[in-house]
Amino acid sequence: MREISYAEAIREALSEEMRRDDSIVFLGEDIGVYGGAFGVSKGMYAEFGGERVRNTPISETAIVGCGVGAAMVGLRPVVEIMFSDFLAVAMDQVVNQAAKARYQFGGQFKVPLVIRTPSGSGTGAAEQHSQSLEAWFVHTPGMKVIAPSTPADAKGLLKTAIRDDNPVLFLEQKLLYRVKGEVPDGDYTIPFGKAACRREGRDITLITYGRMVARCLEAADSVKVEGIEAEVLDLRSLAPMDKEAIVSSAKKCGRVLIVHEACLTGGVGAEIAAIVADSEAFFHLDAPIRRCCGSDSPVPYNRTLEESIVPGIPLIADAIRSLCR
Amino acid sequence: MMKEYDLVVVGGGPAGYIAALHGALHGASVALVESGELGGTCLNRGCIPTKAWLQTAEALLETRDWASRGIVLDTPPRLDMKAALASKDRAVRRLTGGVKTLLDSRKVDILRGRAVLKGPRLVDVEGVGLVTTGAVILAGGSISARLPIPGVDSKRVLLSEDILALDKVPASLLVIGGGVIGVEIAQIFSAFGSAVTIIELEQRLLPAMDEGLSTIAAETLARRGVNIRTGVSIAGIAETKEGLALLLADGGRIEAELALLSVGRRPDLSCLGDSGVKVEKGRVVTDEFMETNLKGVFAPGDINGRKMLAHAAFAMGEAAADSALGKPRRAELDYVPSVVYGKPELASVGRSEAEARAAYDRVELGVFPFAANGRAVASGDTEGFVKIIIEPRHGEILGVHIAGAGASELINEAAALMRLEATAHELADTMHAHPSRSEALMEAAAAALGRCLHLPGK
Amino acid sequence: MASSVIMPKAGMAMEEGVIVAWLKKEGDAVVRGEPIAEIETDKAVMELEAEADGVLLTITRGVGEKVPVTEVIAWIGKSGEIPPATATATAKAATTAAATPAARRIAVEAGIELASLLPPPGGVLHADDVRRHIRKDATPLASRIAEAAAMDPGSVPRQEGSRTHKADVEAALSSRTPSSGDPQSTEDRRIPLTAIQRITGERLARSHAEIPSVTLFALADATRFLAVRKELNDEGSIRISVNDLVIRACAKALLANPRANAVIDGDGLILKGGIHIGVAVATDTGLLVPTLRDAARLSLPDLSLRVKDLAGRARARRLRPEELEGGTFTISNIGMYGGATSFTPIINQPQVGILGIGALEERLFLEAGVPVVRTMLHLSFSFDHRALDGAESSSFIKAVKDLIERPLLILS
Repeated sequence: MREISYAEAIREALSEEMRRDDSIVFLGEDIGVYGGAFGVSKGMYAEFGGERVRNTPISETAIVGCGVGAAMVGLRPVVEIMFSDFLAVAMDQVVNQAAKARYQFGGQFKVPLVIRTPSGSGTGAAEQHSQSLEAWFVHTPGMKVIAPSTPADAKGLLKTAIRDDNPVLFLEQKLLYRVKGEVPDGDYTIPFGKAACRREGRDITLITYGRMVARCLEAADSVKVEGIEAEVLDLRSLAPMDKEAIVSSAKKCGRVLIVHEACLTGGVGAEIAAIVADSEAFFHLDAPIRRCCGSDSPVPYNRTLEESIVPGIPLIADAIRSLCR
Repeated sequence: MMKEYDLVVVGGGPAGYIAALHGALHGASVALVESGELGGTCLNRGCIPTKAWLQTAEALLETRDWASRGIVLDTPPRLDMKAALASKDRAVRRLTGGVKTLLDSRKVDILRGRAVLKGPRLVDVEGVGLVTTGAVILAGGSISARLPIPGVDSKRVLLSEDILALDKVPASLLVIGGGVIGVEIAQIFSAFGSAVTIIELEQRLLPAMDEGLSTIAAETLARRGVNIRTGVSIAGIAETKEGLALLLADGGRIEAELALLSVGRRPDLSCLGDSGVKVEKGRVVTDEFMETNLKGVFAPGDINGRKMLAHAAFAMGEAAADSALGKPRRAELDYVPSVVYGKPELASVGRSEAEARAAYDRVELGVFPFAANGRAVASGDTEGFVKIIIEPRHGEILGVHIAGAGASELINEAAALMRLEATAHELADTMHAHPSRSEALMEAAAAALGRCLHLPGK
Repeated sequence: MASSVIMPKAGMAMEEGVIVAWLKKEGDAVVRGEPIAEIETDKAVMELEAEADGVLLTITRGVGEKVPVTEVIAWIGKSGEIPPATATATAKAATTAAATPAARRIAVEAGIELASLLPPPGGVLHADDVRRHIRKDATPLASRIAEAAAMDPGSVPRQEGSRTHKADVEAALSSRTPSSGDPQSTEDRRIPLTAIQRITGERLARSHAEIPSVTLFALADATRFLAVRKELNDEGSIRISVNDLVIRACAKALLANPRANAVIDGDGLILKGGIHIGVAVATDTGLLVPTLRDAARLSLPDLSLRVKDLAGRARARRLRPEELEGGTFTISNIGMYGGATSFTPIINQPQVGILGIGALEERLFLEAGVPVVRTMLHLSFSFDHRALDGAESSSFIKAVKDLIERPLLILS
């Protein structure tokens, strides 16, 4: 199977969909000739032209608002918000309009909108260009939130997002764009709400998503010699979340470590912990449910500091050991 | 009407006195009714007297080996039967007195008289009156069984209780019944000087025990001059001028001065009255908690016929006491050892080889003769063996059979281990003091597992 | 909520006061405004009044004690209430071992008191600590059998308060589903029959061999029967089962067909005077058939209670020996397991008949050209053909069927 990068996989998904369905339009800053801030839309302007691959002004409210409006009148827009931090500017359009319109209008309108956005830290882009804000939107009924960790997942999940008649926030971790992986040719979709078990284990389960999946796998390998077999569950879909997989993995292993780069307090990890605590898995827990997450801090500009606020492999491995005694 | 008790125990034998003591220990007010001597058959007419006389018999037999050990007797020892009888009686009295001391120490009221159950809470004691109680334990025990053959009522046909009161050694004795009692008494009187013949209906002596034990018993008895006739049934008994004659079914005839009728024991149901306690085949029917069909009436010990042994009676008595006082407890009768005293002692716990082979697909044996045991050789008594039967997959111990001096002690180690579900592996790996006869148990277990180092390799 | 009595700040400068006397004792009723204590302040001795009605629950500071102002010296509340301070104190006194949920669950399943386990270094009991305790607490034989079968002896259910024995492990092994067991094991496994199974087996074999048995089948319209039962249960306090009603119907049918309530006796037949129906109960050690005596004379509630009692005690192995005997007829229910619709029950010697209750089944009928659904009850009656002929046996099963179809007659 061929290997392509995460960014290429996203481009492939988007292009294949746009070829298949000409009601799909793509809007964003610098996505046209420039090819996108992270190169994701390279070549698409040439293929699809300016009507369907549209540069927008620097106005996130307008970008998302346009998307909502276009969606409500029958198009299937994909909008790109250059840094997920800027969703804060467009919050009303995302939360009050996109997520509510279908409900508010009693089903008379649907909003088949995909908001793609680079998320997370590690590029030295500092406080306003490095946040992981998925918790805000997992907490917004009406919004679906997807966070793929591999190129193959990115392609399949983006196609599902585009074909979904409801608003989907599609989070792309910046450092994953260059990561290559095996991606099947042709058309395939991955359903929302289904986690992927990346590593089967027995003593502890690491529940994670996005950039931390690879780190969890490395940490799991590093404790294998000590006789600890760790399971790694890649959620990839945060809303809807695969509660069944979470509970059965927790029940099977009896120890849970939740890992995400987003900061700890009020993060998606807290929701996962609550799901485990109030399930049949509770009675099989042999250790407290622990979270190994980003520090509660703005993302520093200094690269060393930026690295330190996100769980590294040794930290994850230590957390595993502390729970497994 | 007199004082109401929590518990009335009818019968002061092993099941009865233990039930009374156990009940009193746990705070109940208890009365024990006994019309004869405390201690029942075991102390007065059974286990204890026979063991006392067997000791005398063994001592006599041992003196015959002394010359080979360098002890020379100028005049061979002789038996003073009256003194032997007196010594036996002293042992019995000491123990029955001991039982009374125990009962008094726990404030158990001892009522003297025959007791009959009148209702679930009512016991009529002759000479005392009606006694009301919370619960009743009927430990009526057992009596010698009689054969329904003509002539069996002759005064020259003794039961075990009568023969233990003899103060003269008969010139000849016919032992009718080659079970435990018959074999023990045959050994006693053979050592005392009688010419003994054992008559047994089955094809071997001690038919209820493992065949290996029957064989060694028959061989040793025969060597000492005891005549053994197996597979024989009796047509009748006739008195003669000097004694009696046994008329056999095949037409044969054996004469002797006295006969002992030892064909088994049957429950003594006299305490039941017409209370309605259910009896089946002459035994009181109880559940495993020792309760009869009448709620609040319990029947441990020989009276229910389950395992007619004193130690089983002790266990049943305790279970009955607990059950009677509201804490139902099952009598554990899975690992009951049985012993034939004498020389050699024979002891068993668990299944015989035949039973084990019938119940299990695979069975392994380990046999260790005392001739290979250091202690036995040093003391000059090498008769016998330890035989262990195991289920080889896990080493589960199915049965242990011992012949030889001290078998009655060694068998308890086996019973304890089997009850705790220890396997042959644990037994073979438990250090035993050297030299001791108990080592033979350890070695036999190792032999069953194919790894006994004190036997020649194959 | 209990209210506190505090050392009052009787003057601006007062820092502490001394309790000179308590005018009430613990347990006394107090009324608002009533003096309950005498307090010495920096200036004088004054009376302290209760600020609430109630009972003086506890006095926390005694006579002669110097107490800082506003500190609590007593509690007033409703009789029996526990004031906050004392509640905390008792809670602290009774500490239970800290244990993870998994440890607790395993301990509960194995019947172990967590408090009986030594707390490990670190103070928290984990699942493995409990399992280790259970494993140590298994007999050597049980451990070997479990390990040979790749089963953790720590996970074997066992008798409360007891060690894990061979019997516990064997029971766990025989109930292990194939998917959870060792997939590679194709070895045969021998399970010994329980004593009850062996004896029952012998009796069944003999009955089957000796009796020329014939089974009649019938379908009874139980639609009204079920409606009547529902009404009885809606109104009554005792839950009447389908079984209870069928037993009663059977008893009445036997009254009318005495030849079915009989016992073979050599070349004769003893028509039994009493109707004592054996009710088959499945227990985990085998089939037991306790006898319901005088079934025809019992009221329906009595019958139901007695059957429940017998079945419960059968499962707990607490039946008295005589309760397993003396039956003149037997009833066995297979319908309740789902699966089978009806069966050919084996006669319980020396009785001459046995009634089998099968499944309830909905069937479509035409009534005056209109399709209707009726719930039918499958019945089967096995009988000893030496004692009953075709007409007599049919009469009996018809009697049962008729009663089920006219259920009010069962209640009379």
